[in-house]
Amino acid sequence: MSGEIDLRAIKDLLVIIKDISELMIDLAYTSLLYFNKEIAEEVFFLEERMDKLNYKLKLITLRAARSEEPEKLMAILEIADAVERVADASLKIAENVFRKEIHPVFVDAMKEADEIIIKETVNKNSKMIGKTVKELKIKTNTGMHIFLVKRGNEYIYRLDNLRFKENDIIFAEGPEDGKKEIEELLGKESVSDL
Amino acid sequence: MEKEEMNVKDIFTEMKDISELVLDLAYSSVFFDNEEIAEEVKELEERMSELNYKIKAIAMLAARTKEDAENISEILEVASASEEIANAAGDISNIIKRDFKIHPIILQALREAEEKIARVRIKKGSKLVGMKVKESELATAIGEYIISIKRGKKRIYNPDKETVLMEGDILIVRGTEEGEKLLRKICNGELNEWRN
Repeated sequence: MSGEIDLRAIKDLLVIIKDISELMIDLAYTSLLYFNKEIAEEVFFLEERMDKLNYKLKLITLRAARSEEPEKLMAILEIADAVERVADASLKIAENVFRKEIHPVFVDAMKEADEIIIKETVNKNSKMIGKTVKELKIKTNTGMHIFLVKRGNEYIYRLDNLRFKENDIIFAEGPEDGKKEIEELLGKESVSDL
Repeated sequence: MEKEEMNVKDIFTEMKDISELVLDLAYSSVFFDNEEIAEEVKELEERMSELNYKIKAIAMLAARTKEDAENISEILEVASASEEIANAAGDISNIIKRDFKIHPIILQALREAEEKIARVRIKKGSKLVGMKVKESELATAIGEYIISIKRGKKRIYNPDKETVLMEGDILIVRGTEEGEKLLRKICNGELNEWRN
């Protein structure tokens, strides 16, 4: 019985760990290309979280081995190890942002030189509250692409069905002139560049 | 190794593209027990190590002063971190090549939670040949997103809407089981009407 609970916990952890590892890689390169400390700090934060999740995953996996065939659980430990290395590597990439200046090669590698990245809060009076990205046609209307939403400590990047709430923090990239438009949606007095 | 002119920017850009793709494919290969996708992961891993070799070679030639060397070491660090990501992904997808089995209950649950990645070749006679990604409406009509295209030895990462599909292209797509079935028919030339 407890074996089955553990298996479910393993599955849940695997889904989270998979998502976080992919997010870390994206954020690490994003922080480097935009030379953005705030995004780099998210990578640091995620790495710590990943450590804890990985520890938990290994622990539950070992516990599950009491009632399940250990052989069928080995792969989980392999994944945990590999993911730890991915997290460390992402951290290494993001760390470069804390140097004095960005290497020109990374600047050159940016897709659109005039693109900016913003991290902003959805305000109380925002038109976004209760709506989805699709309903708001954010990309069409503002040119900005929201790639991540942070709600409390939770990161959400499958945004298709997400309905925005007050205090959600959005991460978006796009052309500089899209900033004003998204400001309006956010219901905000002032928006700062990252 | 084939002669190929690349500058540091090109190399770094491709390394970034591979990093963002390879882990995704690795997980998918394990969760769906798919050797074909595992093979893609292996190829990407090899490509990454080739790129790392190239970037090191360029770096060595470029360093003339102490300052140069410091600047270059920053690039090399990012390059080696990128390679580490690909290697870790390779280790994940190796799980299915070795005799490791993942507990079926876990696999089942993961499959339900995941969208499926597939690898499909566009054959002669398919309506897709000569079509732009935008025109193909694969995403909107059947829910399959092209994440990479393999064209001979070349790879196109994150193809844009204007990319023209060609005979022999191998598409790496993300979507549903049902969408994959339809896409296979489209690529084989058995299905010509799918667009809205």
